[in-house]
Amino acid sequence: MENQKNMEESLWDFIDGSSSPAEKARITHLLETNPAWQKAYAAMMDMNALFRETNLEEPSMRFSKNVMEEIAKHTIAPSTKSYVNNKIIYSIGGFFLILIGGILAYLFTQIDYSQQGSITIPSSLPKMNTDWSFLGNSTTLNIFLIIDTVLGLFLVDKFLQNKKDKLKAKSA
Amino acid sequence: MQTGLPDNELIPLVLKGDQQAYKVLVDRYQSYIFTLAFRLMQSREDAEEVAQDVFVKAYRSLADFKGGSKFSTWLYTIAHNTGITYLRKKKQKMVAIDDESTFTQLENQESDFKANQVEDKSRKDMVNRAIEMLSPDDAQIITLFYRGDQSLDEIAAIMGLETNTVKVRLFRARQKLKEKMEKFFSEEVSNLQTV
Repeated sequence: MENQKNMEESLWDFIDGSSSPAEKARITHLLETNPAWQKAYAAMMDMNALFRETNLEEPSMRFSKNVMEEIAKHTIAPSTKSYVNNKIIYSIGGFFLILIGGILAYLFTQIDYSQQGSITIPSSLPKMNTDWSFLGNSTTLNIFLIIDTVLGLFLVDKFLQNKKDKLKAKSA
Repeated sequence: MQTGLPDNELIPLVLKGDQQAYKVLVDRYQSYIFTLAFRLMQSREDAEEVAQDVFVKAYRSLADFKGGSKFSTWLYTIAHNTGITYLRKKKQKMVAIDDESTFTQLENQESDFKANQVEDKSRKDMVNRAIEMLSPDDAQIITLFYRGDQSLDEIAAIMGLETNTVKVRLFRARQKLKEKMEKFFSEEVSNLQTV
């Protein structure tokens, strides 16, 4: 039973053209010499031809007319590339990379490498003595927030501008 | 005039606003899309609605088709996704590959067919009826492979599966199709050589 399944699997791969070259050579040899494989191959080729002959289902006669009437109400949307400006994506990506890089750099400068942690395993890890207060007060956070707000306003402006252009094009 | 043009020459015309060029594409693919939708929905009304939706979606997003794949593969992907979304919306359960209860239900429906109509059916109809007895996934794979002219890699892209998974599913779908044909259309199958 298992052998039969393996034979069928190998033969389907062979018929579909997805056998490896070595497997292809093995099956070609078997088909030349082995009557059981020859019989199975002939039957599967018949099945394959039969599967290819199947009829397609047909929609109603009005189908293409309905589709054309429907698409007359629509316009082709501009390509995603045309309204997703790569410069904006890169700017946002760059901003966050700088933000993460800045925070990491700050953290590393705050690590007190001279102290050992109270936990013994692993004893060699430095104890982190980080001052997080910069996030709560100061200009650093305010600057980040301002940049975020400006980028947000920039994106909203871009979105509204696109909408306005579309409306103009439609009315024209 | 445009009916003989290949897909990749029709698409730029559509993008320039030639809707008749799009009609050529609709005429070319409507049977394929409708068949795929019908395999999934198992209802002609739903399949027609889904197929129409597929062509509208494809038209609206045609500018995003960059020719990285065949147009048919791109269109079938939209059809597959639209069909799945439609089924989810209707809260219909997708039939799992090994859902034997569904098969039994379908087989019971088929027994009437066997008794009354099988003698009048051609070999093609026999295979079509047997495909209808498969699960939607299996029926879709068989249709895409044999009628949609899609490779295993392309079917994998359409259905969001690994190529090896598609290969295994195709093998199992063929086995099941053969079993159905032998069970319900034994006379016709006996004319073929059995494996």
